[in-house]
Amino acid sequence: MNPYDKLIQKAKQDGGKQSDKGSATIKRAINSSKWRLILSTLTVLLLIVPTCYMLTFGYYAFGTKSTTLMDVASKTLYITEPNTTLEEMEFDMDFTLFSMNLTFDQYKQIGDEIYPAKEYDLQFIFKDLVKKETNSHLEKVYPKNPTETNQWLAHPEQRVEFNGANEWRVLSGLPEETVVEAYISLDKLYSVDEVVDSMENIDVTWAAIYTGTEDTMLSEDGDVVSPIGYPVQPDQTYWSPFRDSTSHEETFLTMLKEIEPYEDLAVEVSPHKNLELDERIDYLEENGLATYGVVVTGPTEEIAKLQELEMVRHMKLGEVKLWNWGR
Amino acid sequence: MELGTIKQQIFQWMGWLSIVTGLVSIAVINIYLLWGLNVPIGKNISLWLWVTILLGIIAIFNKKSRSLGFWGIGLGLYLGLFYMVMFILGWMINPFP
Repeated sequence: MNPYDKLIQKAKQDGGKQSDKGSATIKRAINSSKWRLILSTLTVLLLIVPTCYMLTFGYYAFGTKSTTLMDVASKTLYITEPNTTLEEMEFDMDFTLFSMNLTFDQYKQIGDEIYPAKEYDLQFIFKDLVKKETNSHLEKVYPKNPTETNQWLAHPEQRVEFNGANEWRVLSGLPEETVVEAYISLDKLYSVDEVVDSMENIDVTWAAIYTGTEDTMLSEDGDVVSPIGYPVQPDQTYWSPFRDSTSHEETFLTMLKEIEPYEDLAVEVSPHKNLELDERIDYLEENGLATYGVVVTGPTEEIAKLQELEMVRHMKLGEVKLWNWGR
Repeated sequence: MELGTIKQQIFQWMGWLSIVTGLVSIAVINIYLLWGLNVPIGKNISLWLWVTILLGIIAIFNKKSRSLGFWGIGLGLYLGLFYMVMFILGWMINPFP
């Protein structure tokens, strides 16, 4: 083989090696691109849920605050549900994509002890309440759909749908070793202190406040309104808006003003359909606070004695429990 | 194989490993979130975060694996941001222990 042929042969061999090397490089580049594409797609997909969670947390921290929603819900229940209280540690908040779930228990004082009354399960999507579930432990349930006349606490000018005489008869038939909760409608408007002073040996737990609408139970627009009021007893529960309150009346008025901007939410949380807070706050600021009905609790015998009071117009019997009065 | 090629391949593998550990951590977070469980901040996932960032940092020292390194570091930083948001905002939006 002459030198020229040798040179050609060598060039052919080198070319073949280079071509093998080139195809391996291309194969590796294709593989690398393939994995880059797969992993970048995976990255985008996996970032969606955590990013949405961060946005959700951001919304409930800086937008409509989760604590605001919780405050509105709890304060609404304090003023619309007679004789109820909430426990701080019983609140449970869960956050899912763009929604918040709030569950808590509501309690009632019957006699000298606090009993579970209802469990609430509220689901918010952003700030809208989309689900409300309640599970009641009560034997006597306050009318769910209020009308002008089906209230348990009635203004002096309102009639009631229950048989008042029958309620007193039922009360007198209860064993002495029981404690009861009773809804007392008064014969005229009184100050809360006046009522508390007149009712000895029992606890006045909640007072329904006259807001200029309860004589007809209709707002200026003709809508049926719900009774509102405030807890009378000192409440040392850490969560309670009435904790360390020097004047429950002032706290009540402040609460109404705080709830007012969120009235739609308050109406959805409350079992009642209309609050008409604007109109009622104006009335209270002009005329002050007076009560037309209170919720009391204590020994059956002591509650029965209320029938003798001139100020008591009607009594509706609430929950009954075995004796727990330790005073 | 030449030493330079081996070194380059090690850097590339570091880059790929950084991305994979980052994605595995985010996948675990996805599982916790989608199942409605509390994300275990401060446990094994934090270790994965540091591994992701460390491997990413090593990978950026080589020109060919630099993009992989930045990708891994990006995932690590995202994980860090996620933990911080969950921890700080978590306290702000849920005042109960």
